[in-house]
Amino acid sequence: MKPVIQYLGDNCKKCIKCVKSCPSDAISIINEKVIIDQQKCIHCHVCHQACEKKVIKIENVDLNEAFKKHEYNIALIPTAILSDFDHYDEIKNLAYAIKKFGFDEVVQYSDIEGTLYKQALKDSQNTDKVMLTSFCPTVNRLIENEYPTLIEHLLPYEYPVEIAAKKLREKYHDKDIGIFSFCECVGKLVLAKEPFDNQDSYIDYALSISRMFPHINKRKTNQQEEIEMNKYGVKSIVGDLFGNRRFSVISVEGLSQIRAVLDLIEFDQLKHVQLIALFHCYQGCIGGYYLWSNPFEGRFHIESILDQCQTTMTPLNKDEYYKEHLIHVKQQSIKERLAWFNKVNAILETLPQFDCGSCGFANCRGLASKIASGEVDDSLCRVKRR
Amino acid sequence: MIKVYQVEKENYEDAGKASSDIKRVLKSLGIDRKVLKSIAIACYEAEINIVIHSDGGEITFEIDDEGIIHLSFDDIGPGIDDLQLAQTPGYSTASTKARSLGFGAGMGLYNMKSVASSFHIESSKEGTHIHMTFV
Repeated sequence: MKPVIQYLGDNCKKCIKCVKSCPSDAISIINEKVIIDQQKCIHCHVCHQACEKKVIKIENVDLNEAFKKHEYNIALIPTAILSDFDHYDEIKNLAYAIKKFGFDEVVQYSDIEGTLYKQALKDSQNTDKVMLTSFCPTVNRLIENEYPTLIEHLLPYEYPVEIAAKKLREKYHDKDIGIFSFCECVGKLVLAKEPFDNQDSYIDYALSISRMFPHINKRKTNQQEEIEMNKYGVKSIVGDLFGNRRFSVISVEGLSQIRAVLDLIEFDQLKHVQLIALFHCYQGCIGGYYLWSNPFEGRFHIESILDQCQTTMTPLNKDEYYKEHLIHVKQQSIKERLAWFNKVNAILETLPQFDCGSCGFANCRGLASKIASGEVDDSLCRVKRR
Repeated sequence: MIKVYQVEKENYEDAGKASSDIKRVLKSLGIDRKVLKSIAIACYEAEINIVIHSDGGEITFEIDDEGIIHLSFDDIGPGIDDLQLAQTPGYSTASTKARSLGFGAGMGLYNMKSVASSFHIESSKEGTHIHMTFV
């Protein structure tokens, strides 16, 4: 995999806003350069949003180039886009405009999301554990990195967009198709071969939907392309609509709230909840960074057109949706780790522990571990120098 | 490595903070996730017990040179009357206040005993002492 969030040095004033904003302490500034730890980075958009000089970049696919490579191009459009519309017909206008832009087919996968939503409700009833459901790549990376104890709680489902792409590959097995996923958020961009070289994906290209917007908008008319949305799929991506406000089924949004609920599960302190939907963005996917609408009104837009959505379900076989979540285990003995930990702690004790960030590390522990590995020394600490 | 945490009687706001810190340390050490989960559950239960039932106490968290994790919970009283009964699942003497906050379901000692590699408890009017190890 290639780095998702990148740093392009020119113009950077080393203001440490990215360092301080990162929710997973993945960013540091060493020798006047912003370094993003790709293992720790969970592909959220927070540093990109915080960067005033716009030197934190997220690569995008060159659409014109990609377009020419295949004989039949398919656009996968995210369910969250519905939050921008007052009327159901507008999604049909949008689909028409996408085709007019040059795509041969427009595909929507809320039917798959709906099936997995129902499957999650069902699967969480048959166990005594609190189950988690997340189609948010950012949340899933957070769990892999910080909550490996909870992997068994995470329902083992493939991403709906990947299932949709796999089905298209099977359908058009004798055709040279190009599958383009329009993404409402940064996290979802990793679910494609390009631009980040995820060779496991069935999707060829991922691109932010905000980049498509001007092209689509130009071509929007009253003409329509028939497109179906599934009611349960739509509900599954909106925080407030997930689970009908049942006591046993809840949704949790935002990384700090997610960490709070995951901590409670680790302490075995959630007694009544059976299923939790986790979303990095406010109100779920409709809060996606690349959507031009806002989730505050969007949530009501969606509710008002929910009844015009389909309720017929697309059955999925278990082998179509089942996917085990894997975690990477560090190959180091406890003695080695303990020795390292003690070394870092001893250095940490000599630092002010204000976590001001002015050395270029998110906190004093970050600086201490780089001192321990011999890469830098404590002259970086401005508080000590004073 | 040894860390000691003070736990205050009936301080429900800070209840669980020591366990959270211990969990954080163990995570950064990359402890096996199954062991980590057992420790998290047992440690939290024991910490809450000190808050709810005792007059205060302390937690000692140690990782010895062999990599074995030791947790000691030492409070200053008033002790448990019937240790046998207290280890029965569902048995609880928690106050209404504690229960209203979601604590005191009566599974504490039973849970600790079932997840720890070794579990030792003694109690008198001067205090309760629990020592658990995790391998």
